[in-house]
Order: sequence, then structure tokens, then C-alpha cells
Amino acid sequence: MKAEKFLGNFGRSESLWMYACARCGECVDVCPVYEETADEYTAPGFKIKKMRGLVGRKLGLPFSGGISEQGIKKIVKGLYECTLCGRCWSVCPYNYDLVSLWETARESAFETGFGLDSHVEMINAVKAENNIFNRPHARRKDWTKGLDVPVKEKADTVYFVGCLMSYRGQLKPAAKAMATIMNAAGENWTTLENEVCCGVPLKFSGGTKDLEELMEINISAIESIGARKIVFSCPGCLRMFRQEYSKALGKKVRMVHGIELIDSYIQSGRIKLKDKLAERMTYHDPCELSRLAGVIEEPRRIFNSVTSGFVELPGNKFNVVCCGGGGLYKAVDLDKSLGIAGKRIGQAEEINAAGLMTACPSCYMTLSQTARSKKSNVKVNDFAEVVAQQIE
Amino acid sequence: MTGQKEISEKKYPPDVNYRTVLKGLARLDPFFHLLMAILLITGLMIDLLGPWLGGWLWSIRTIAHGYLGALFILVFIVYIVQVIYSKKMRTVLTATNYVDFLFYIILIITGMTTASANKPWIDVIPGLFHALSPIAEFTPAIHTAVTYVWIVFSTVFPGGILHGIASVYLISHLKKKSKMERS
Repeated sequence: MKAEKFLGNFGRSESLWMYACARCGECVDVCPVYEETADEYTAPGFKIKKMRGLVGRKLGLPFSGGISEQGIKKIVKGLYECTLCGRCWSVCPYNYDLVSLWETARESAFETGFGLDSHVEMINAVKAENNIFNRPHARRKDWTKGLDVPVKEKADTVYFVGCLMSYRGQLKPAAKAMATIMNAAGENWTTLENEVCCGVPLKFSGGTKDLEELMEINISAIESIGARKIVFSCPGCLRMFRQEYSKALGKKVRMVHGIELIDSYIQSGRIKLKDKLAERMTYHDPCELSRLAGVIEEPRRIFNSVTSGFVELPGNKFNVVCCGGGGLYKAVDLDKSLGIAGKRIGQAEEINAAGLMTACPSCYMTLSQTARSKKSNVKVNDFAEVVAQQIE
Repeated sequence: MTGQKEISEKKYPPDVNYRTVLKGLARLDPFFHLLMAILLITGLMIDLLGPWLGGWLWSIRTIAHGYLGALFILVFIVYIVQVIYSKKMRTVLTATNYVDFLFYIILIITGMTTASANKPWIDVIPGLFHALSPIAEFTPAIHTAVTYVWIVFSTVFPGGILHGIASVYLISHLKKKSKMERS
């Protein structure tokens, strides 16, 4: 019975954690998905409680409860109804890596046949075309049309564009803007001739079987270029590289987000900006960039150089409230995902921001879609576009 | 809107060790847990070191354990009301937590009975005077015995704070071990 195998990949650390949890409920209070759904199966603490029963049963502990396929399906649904934003980890008094716990549990769900159909489709797309949208791999570089984007055999810096920036029409100008800024700064950079999906969507879905094969293509391409720095527009790709690729690429290769690179350009004077705008602008910290990668002050320095009207959103920096688009949640429940984003747009409206900037393609897609559907006056922008327009 | 808890910045992926755990626990109902810790320590001192405490015994029993115990009752009532109206009531708490609360209630009733010359429940429910008077004789023993049962319960069963700390110790131990194996 496949139900018996669920959570079979839990090691001693995960199993012990199930019992160590203090039941303080802090994670429940701050979870944006539980706030939106009010379904207890989406509450982090409740998922731990339910998984504890399964782990306890495997360990042969008394009072562990039964195990039914129906019950597991409910738990799995809850595991996928999560943005992996890490807010639960941030408030956990034990500081336990709950993001990793959810990813490990999703992996088990996928391996035991409880994965979602939409995720299976996405993985098949990655296998077939090396991108999550099942678009022809040959068109990955379409975003470069009409722009001086180098493809060099050797370069100091590699710009890893990512699937969303490469294929989503709305985001292509942001990728172009990033290229424009690097050219303006005189960076010796290149894109990969044969860039493929970094694999983070596979990790989020739990279908990690083909992950290594995928990673190998990017790793060998980067190694052959001899780059010492990789720049990302997508915080998901960045985290994937820092956590997984760095094991192969080593510490000599620096992995930075575009916003960190641009901040260093401004600080060192490699790019000069025009006079500050007067527009009232705010910034939504992507969870993966601020909470999970620690990039917090750099965007603020940039936006304070770009506009004199920079204002902070409530629930920001390390304590940012997710936009609702993380962890493949949009593919699970679009309405709820956009519902969470609607609250964020509402907050931007409350502080009378004309522009809402972000530094994540997934946040951009979710927030801009919501702003359009709400007919909001708040305009969602990618940071690179805003900076590129201000270069002297 | 989602709870706007302000947590100071920390590194991801996280390190789990005693320091991080104690730091995290320190911000969880700090007044409640501080009082609980004081009552546990002073209670154990009275029971185990009583004959050797000399003149200190009276101060520890009356002030540190007695008056702080009375304060704990008020804090406990506020705590329980908060729990009842919180989301965690229906999401994270399990039978062991409710048994934990039951232990607290027994300790509070027996503590009050032992400490108060008037036996407060006689004023509250006079009808129970005859039924409860003989029990009053045993309340100090019940109070002490339940404390030890609670310690064992909190250590062995999931949900208790001591159990949590013990588990986290094991986790950090395992992490250290795996790091050593990797290097």
C-alpha cells in the first residue's frame, strides 16, 4: 500500500522534530495561506500534528492513530497548499528548518504517487523542453531580440535568466533591463548558450528524480565559461543555486541576485542615475530573497537613489508577508493565491503608493495579475526596469 | 491580515542548537514560563532540600512559592483564555497538552488548599466542606506527587517543554554528527 511508504524519506531529524514541536501555534498565527483558506490542513502546526501520527505509527508508538489513503490525501493537499514562504520557520522558537521539512514531505508525497497532476505536467514539460511552460527550448533566447546580449565562451559573470524571465512576455522587458544595466556598468558578462530550468520548480513539486540530470547541464556550461559570478533575476533560482549547485560549483563562484549587483554598481559609481523621481513607490520583499537569502538593505538603498518618494509596506523585510505566488501555490489554488496577493495590493493602496516594485518574477506575475483584476491604480514594476530607465 | 509578528532577522538555512532554541523559547509567553520555572525550582527545593534550608525555608515556601504561586493562578487564567480563543486550540494542541493543563489545575487547587488556612473552596462551595475536608489533609502530598508525575509526563510525552528541549538536543547532536561525517 503506497500510504505505508508516505514519509518514508523522513530521517531521524525530521522524525524527532515531529515530537519536539512545542505546539506553540506561532506558525499557525502567521501563515498567509491558513489566513486565506481557514482550512486547518493548511496550518503548519496542524500538518505537523497529522504527520506526527504517521511517523509515530511507523515507529510503532502507541496512540499514533490510523493511516488511511484518504487521510494522507488531505495531508498532502495541505502540503501543496503552501507558498514555502518560510514565515513559519521565521517564528518557530526551535528555529527548525520548516521550509526544508515541507519540501522533504512533498518529495515523499510525489514519490509515493500522491503528487499533483499539474506538477506532473510541469515536470514532463521540463523533461521535454527544459522549461516549465512546455515552450520550445529554441525560443528561450527570444527575449534578447533587438538587444546587445553577449554569448561568450569565457566571461567573468553569467546572467542566469530563468524560465519565467525567458518565456513570459510581461517579464521579458525586465530581463532586457537587467542586460542594459550590466552593459552600462561595463560588466564582462554572458548568458548561457544552452540554459535550462534550474530545477527549483521540481524541488517545489517534490518530483526531484530528474533534478541532477538537469543541474548537470547548467553546471558544465558554467564551468566551461569559467565564470566567478552568477547573477539571477529570480530569487528561486538563486536559492536553488546557493543550496544545491554550490555543492558542485564550490565557493569560488559567487551567486548574487541582480538587485545586489545593481546596488554594488551604484555604490561603486559604475552606473550613474538621473535625478530622483518624485513618484511615491514601495517595495514588496520577495520571501525567497529577503527572508531566505538575507537580501534586505540593498533594494532599499537602490530605491532611495531612484525616488524621493520611497515608502515601506507594512509586513516587510525579514517579516515580509508572502504575495501568495510562491511554492507553486498558484497551480494548486489560483483564487486563494490571488486572494493573498489582493491583500498585498490593498496594503500598497493604503499607503498611497503609485508603484509597487519587486525583485522576483513570480511575485511580479502574481501581484500584477491581481492589480489588474482589482483595477488597482498601483502599478507593479520589476526593479530592473525602474533602474534601467533612470540610468544617465 | 496575517499576524504581523516582528521577528529579528536570522540566517537561513538555520542552525539548530541550544542557544537558538532558548532564544526562541524566551519569547513564548515569557511571564507564564518564567513563573512556572520559578515555581518548579522552588517546589523542588522545598521538597528535596527542606531540612537543610533552615530559615530560608519559610521565605522560599511563603514568598517565592506561595505568593508567586498565587500570581501564577492569575497568569494561568489569562493564558487559558488566550489559548481558548487562539487558532492553536483547534490546530496544534493534542490530548497531551490538555492533560498538561489538567496537571496545572490540580496543582493550583492543591496548592491553594495547602497554602490557605481558610481552605478557599469552603467559601466558594460551602456544600463541599464535609466532602473535601478530609482530603485537605492529603493535599500537600498530592501537590508534591503530581509535580513529579508532571515532570515525568513532560519529559516522556510529546508536547511538554522538557521533552521538546530533549528532542532539540538530539537534533543538534545529529546535525553535528552528520556535519562531522561529511567533513
